[in-house]
Amino acid sequence: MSLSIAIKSFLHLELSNEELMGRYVQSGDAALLARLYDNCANDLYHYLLTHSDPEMAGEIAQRAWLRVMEKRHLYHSNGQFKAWLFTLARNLLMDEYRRIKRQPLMESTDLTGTSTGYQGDIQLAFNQALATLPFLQREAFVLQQEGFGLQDIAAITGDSQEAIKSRLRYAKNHLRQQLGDHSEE
Amino acid sequence: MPKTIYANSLEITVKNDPSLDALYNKRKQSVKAPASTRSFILAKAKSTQVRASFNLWNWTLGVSLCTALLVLFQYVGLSHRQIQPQYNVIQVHRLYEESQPLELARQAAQQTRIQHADNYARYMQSQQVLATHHKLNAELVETANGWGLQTCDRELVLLTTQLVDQLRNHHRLEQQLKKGDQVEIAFDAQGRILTIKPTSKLNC
Repeated sequence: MSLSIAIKSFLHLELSNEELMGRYVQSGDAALLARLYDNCANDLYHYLLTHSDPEMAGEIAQRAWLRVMEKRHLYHSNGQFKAWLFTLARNLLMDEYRRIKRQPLMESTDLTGTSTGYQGDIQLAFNQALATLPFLQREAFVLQQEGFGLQDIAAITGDSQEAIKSRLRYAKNHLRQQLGDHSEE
Repeated sequence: MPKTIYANSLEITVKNDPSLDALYNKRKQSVKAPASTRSFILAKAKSTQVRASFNLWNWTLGVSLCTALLVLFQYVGLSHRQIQPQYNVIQVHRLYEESQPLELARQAAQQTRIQHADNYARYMQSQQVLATHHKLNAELVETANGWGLQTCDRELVLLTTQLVDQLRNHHRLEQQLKKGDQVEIAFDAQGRILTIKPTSKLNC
């Protein structure tokens, strides 16, 4: 594997996140971390922002990347780097919620009859509908949108695949309901 | 960058909604990670990298110092051994050992030849000496100074203790001889007694 990475690097071919991380684990080269950051930072920040406020999202994202640097020796080469990164970030987010004694997982959102009402800006309606989703449903939806499969989402959240499947179904139904017929336009 | 779909996402039974996907992607495009975070993380990574290379330098320096010390000890040990005289002795000893067997063999062969020739000459001489010149019959008597041989001519030949011992050592004197025995005395050309043997031919 290292030979193929070396050849790709020599030919300036694009390396996958896993290959970049594999090389970063060995060398600690900051340039490799920069490439990983550029590939994943926006996705991670968006995930965190969807589940917290901008200040906390920035703080947790920064801590997650620092943890990538510190714990890089714990990264397994056969795993997806992005899933590992999101797992680190989610754990930090949960720790932070525990620290400030807020329990977003227990916060209930009454989804019945809370249509945001489409008023011309469907994107705004989508953002509002997403914000009204319960934490776990929102999380499952966002992670699926980030390209993770059921198995990955279950691993990141620590829940069963059946639970994830159920959350995804509820989340999408709610979003469609909130957006109504306008989402078809 | 296009969204990456991982292989196991095929397991998802909940179908993706294209309109929701599009709305989600549009939302994501409006969200960018803070630039300050990138700067901070990369600065941290570079400082760690510098520290790692510094540690590597220290490690290299340590290994170099150890190697230098090892070489120094080797050199000192070698010099110490070189000034010891045993080396010269050992080398000379080896050369001696290598040449000694041939030299010794030559010397031994020479010595053997000399001894053999000497022994042969002595043997020949003894053969001549043993050639009896004349014989005389006598009776063995005991005197105050030891044994004596009394001939028919009333001559008494005294045998010194040394002569008796020599004759016995050379088996030229019968062991069982005693006083009164009649013996035959063999003389050489110089009149020296060669053997004394018992006989019954004494007729005086």
